[in-house]
Amino acid sequence: MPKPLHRPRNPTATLSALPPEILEQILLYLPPKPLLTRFRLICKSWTSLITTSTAPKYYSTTSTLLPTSERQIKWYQYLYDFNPVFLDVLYQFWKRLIPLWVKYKESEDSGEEEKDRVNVAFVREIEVLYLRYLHIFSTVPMLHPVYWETRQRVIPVNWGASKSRSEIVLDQEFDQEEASALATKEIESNGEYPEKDKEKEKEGGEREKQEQTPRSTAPKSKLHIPFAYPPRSIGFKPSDNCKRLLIYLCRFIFMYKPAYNGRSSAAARPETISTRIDIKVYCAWANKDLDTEVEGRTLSLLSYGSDGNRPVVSKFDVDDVATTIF
Amino acid sequence: MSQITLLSSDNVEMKVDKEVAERSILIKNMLEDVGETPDQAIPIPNVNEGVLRKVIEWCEHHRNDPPPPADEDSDSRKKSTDIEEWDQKFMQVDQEMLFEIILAANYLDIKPLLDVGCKTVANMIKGKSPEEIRKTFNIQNDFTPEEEDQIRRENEWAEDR
Repeated sequence: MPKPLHRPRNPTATLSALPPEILEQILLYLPPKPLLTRFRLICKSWTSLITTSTAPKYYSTTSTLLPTSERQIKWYQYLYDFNPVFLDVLYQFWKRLIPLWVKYKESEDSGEEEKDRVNVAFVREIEVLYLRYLHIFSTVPMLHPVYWETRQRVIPVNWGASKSRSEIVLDQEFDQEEASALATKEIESNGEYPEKDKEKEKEGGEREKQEQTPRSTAPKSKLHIPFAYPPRSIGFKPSDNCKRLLIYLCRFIFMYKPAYNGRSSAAARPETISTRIDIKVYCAWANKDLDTEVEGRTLSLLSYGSDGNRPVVSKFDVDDVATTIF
Repeated sequence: MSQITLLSSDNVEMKVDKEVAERSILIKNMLEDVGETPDQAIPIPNVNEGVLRKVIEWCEHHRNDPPPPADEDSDSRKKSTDIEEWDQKFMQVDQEMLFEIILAANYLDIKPLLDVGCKTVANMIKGKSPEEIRKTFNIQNDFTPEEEDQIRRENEWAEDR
């Protein structure tokens, strides 16, 4: 019988005693969502490691890159591993905001006062949401509005079909600095404005002022995303948090890059990144009263009007979702 | 095939092929610095006999592996916790040994072995509840009930479905 190897008990040979850099490597192999939630419950040293480590940052920074090569595209399937965090936060936002948005749309008929009321509700709701997700924002820097402000670069958004990359050009009065931080380099695009649908044009006045700004400041090669918040005619004053969150939300929505559908099956993996934007899912989750359809770049929302029986279908271009909703 | 001698922390000498020992970047660099094959044993002060044998066993099996791609982009490894069968069997050891192998791989700078170790641990963590993880790895729960409650509340967003 072989003699068992004698090994003196090594107090450093436990999980908790591993050097943090090794523990961090282990954490990188774990799926991000449980990492950011459940595993924070284990013990204090884990929590602080998870909060300070590059692990979540790793997920967040890699997911801001656009794939340029076949290999990067393959790599993108892993975005799905990260996206749950995004998707969950996004989903929560939609869930809370969509009913309000529907009200807002309905209130268009019932005059300014009602619209005003709904808008105030919007602002409150967004602030509540912001506070609720504050800790997530700070854990995952990418999700934090301030993070964007410190990164002097545009997050180019590839909408695939149109081959355009977008940047968000903000209302000058609204946030000059933000806008200039955004306006930069290497934007390749076709320089066309997204088509606005009729509904939007009704909003009239402030939108026209809006349009002049980017036209004069932004070179033609940039795709302008109208960002009209707050509508000046209504004139409410959002708090700083609220402003940031809105900027952030817009980016969030525009940044969302769908990766592969059905990542589990290698055979079904498409050659290129899907350009379809799966807002449908969020909307469907968001409210049972809403029926949604996404077709191409158009998102349709089916809701039931205040009289309860006449269904209302609202359609808008996905490019304009962010604007429409606010 | 030239051989070199390694000396474990508990003063046991082991002869290994130079090629095998050079899976360890630490030893490889050391040998390069010396310039020729040393006749003296190379002391490995942080690794005891049992662990060193395991590490050498791994290096023997993987002696012909291509060097890992230096390219940072090839980070696909970061996500997949798949471990090849031989390595899985190799890692079927008690926890203490597992962590000692990880520490040794870290010290000796054998990245692929370190990766296998980390993956193994990650697989042990995956899918477990915090309570189970604490139990598995003998981790003390140092949260007060209030702190735990706070985190649970913060986690609600993820469970709200």
